[in-house]
Amino acid sequence: MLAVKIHVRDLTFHYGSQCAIQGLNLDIYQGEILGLMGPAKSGKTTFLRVLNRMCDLVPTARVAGSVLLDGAEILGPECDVDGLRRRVGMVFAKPVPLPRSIYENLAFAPRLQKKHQHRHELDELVENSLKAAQLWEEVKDRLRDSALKLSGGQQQRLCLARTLAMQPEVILLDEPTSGLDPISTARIEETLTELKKDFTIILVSNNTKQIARCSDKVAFMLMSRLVEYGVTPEVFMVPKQKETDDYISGRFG
Amino acid sequence: MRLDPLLTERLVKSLLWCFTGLTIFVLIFIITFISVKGLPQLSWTFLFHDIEDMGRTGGIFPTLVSTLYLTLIALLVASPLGVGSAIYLTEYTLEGWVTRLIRFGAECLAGVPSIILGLFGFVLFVIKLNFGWSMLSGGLSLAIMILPTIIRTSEEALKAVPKEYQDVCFSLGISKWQTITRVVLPCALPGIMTGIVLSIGRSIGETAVVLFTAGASLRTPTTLFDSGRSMAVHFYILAREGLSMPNAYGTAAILIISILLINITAYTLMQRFLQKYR
Repeated sequence: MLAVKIHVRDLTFHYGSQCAIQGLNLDIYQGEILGLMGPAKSGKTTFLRVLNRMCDLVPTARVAGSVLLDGAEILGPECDVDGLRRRVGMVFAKPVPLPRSIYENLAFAPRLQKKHQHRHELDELVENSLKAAQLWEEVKDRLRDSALKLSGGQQQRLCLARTLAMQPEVILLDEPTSGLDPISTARIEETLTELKKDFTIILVSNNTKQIARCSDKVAFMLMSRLVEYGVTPEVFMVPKQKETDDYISGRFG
Repeated sequence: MRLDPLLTERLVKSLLWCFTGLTIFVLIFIITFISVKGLPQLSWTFLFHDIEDMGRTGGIFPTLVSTLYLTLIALLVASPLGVGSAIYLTEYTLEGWVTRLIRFGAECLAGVPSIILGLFGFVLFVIKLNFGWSMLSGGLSLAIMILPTIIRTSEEALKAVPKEYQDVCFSLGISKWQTITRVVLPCALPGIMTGIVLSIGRSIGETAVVLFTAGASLRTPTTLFDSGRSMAVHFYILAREGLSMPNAYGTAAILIISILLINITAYTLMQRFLQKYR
């Protein structure tokens, strides 16, 4: 039996008067990929942004309920937000390399944490993270080049590597392949399957086939609510809810 | 009647070319005029000698020192204040009536005629705070004059930094201040520098403010509380009193050359910096 990593109870989220998440209950297990799917505006991205408190950046945001990470509440004011974000990494839909070298993109945050002061430690961290994101072979000879020169697919793997270099426990992926070609997408998916041994991964995607391929559990959100949750093959073969069936078979969404 | 689109296109193109040409012509004319009149005056003596006989003979060394002094004080005071305010306005407050009011205030300050700023500097620094006619009074008054420019240009530069960079930094657990100093400011630096270089140009050339607050002493200023005349003031007095037109043009030539040099140096440094970050 896998351990529960994140425990979400009665999570409700509003932007101003607009409801984005309504009474969400969900357990996310260690070492698994949870696929989160649903049409646009269903609350998927908001949910991810609650998990690392990026939702704080929206001034009108109101959140209620409880999210426990390893049993500790993360929504309260006592939570160290910067520390939380180091434990819960995030990869955005659009790859955004910082305007620095490939090496610096990865070493930047760990260096500021002061945990990795020595050159060789950082070098090792950068190499391991790039290898884990399957980018090492392509960039090992040009680590000092600008990260902006990489192709879209490489940039997204760089962003993944940058998140890995933080040595997080949970990785949130917000439609990480939405702007990529099929080959780059395949490489990212391959990487994710490789990574789930060490991390808890939540993958948001519009691409139901991708969810079916990668995830262990799947959650389907519609109109701010969690409609269905279960083991991936079961949900895709015999969905319990009509809405899920409709969505998977492409009748709406 | 409708004109043939192709003809209109040609007409508009040549008309716009004329406008641009005219602008460039005015610029070239001024520079050539000053150079032709002023450059023959330049010599080591002119640059490095004290002013003699009210400026009829001798050099302009004291005015070079005063100008440098005043501009440096103005920059050292106004840059941190201006960039700081810009950071506050863009990163630490929400867009609302407060920021609009502050921005409106800064714009009004930018619109205040420099002679009035000079009077204000005179009343506040020279009389009230008893700094006298001095480098300090002049520098502080110039700082007030260039502050709005620095705030405005810095704000625009900071706003132009992609918001995504901040999202990425926050998602990596980097604090807000670290994000600003390590990522946002380096990205905005070219824009901020442009504002500062513009301000340097304005400070060097400003006459009214300095005349009121730094005085027109002929000696070379050494301490903060010494009076001294800047190049622009020297030029004004030479020309106004009809002391020596050739020396006035010489001073003007040095003024233009120094502004040109500062611009070129700043942009070269900027290019180097950009290459490092892109």
